[in-house]
Amino acid sequence: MMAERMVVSEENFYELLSFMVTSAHLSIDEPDLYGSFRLIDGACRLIEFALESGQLEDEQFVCEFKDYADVRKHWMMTDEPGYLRFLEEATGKLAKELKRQATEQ
Amino acid sequence: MEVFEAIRNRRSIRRFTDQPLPKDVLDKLLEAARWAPCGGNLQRWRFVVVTSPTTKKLIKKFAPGIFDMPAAFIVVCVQTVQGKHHRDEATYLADCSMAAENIMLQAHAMGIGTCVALSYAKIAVRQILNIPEDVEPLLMITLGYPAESPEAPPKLALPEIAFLDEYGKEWK
Repeated sequence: MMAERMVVSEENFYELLSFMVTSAHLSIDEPDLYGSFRLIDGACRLIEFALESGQLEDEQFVCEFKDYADVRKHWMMTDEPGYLRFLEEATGKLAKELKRQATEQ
Repeated sequence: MEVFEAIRNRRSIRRFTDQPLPKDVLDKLLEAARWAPCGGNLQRWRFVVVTSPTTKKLIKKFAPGIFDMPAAFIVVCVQTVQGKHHRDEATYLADCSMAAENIMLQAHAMGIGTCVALSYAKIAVRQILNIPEDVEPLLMITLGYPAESPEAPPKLALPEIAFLDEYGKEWK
C-alpha cells in the first residue's frame, strides 16, 4: 500500500521551489542537455526529501534508484552517449517498478 | 607543489567535508587572485567571500549546479563602467577568469577543492549579497576540503587543439 498523504518540510519545499524556478530561468541560456540534467537532479532531490519525511511505505526502490541516478547523472559532463542511455534505462526502471506496484494493489 | 603538477592534478570538486576554511587560508587565496594578470592593470575585479551558514544556504538555493554545501563561496565580481564597448567586456571576462584560476590552483596546492559555478541566478545572488547595480557577479567558486577524488575527465589531444605557425597546420 502507498502512503495516501506525504508531508514535505517547509524548508525542503522552498529548496525544491527555488531549484525548479532557478533552473527554468537558467536553462534558457545553458547548453541543451543541462535542462534534462536539472530534471533528473531534481528527481534525486525529491527522493531525498521523500526519504527524509520517513513516510514512504517502501523505501527500497527509491533508495536504490537514487544511488543509481546520483552516479550516472554526472555522465552528462563526461559521457554523453552513456548519459542518454542512462536516461532511457532509468525511465524503464521506473515504469517497471510502477507496474509492479500497480499489479500488487 | 610544482606548478604543472598543480595544473595537471586539479579537479573540479563537488563534494566537501564539513571542515571550515581558516581565515588565513582565505587570505592566501585572495592574495593569489590579487596577483593575477589583468588588462591595463585596471583591477576591476571584486571578491565576495561567503562563509556565513545562512547566506551560503540561501545562495545554494539559487544555484542548481551546486550539489553539496561548500565551506565557502568566493563570488568573483567586476566593477563595470557604463558606456564601454564590447572589448571592455572581453577584457574583464579574461581578467576575472585568470583571477579565478589563480584561486583554484593555489587552493589545490593547499589541499582545498574548488569548482567554478556559472549556473546560478545572478538576480538572486545580487539581492542576497547586496551587490550594487554597477557590479556584476561573473562567476562563483565553491571551496572546501574534498570529500571525493574524481578521475581526470577526457581531454582533447594536443594535435586536435594546437597548431604550428598557422591555423590548421599540424602541431608535432
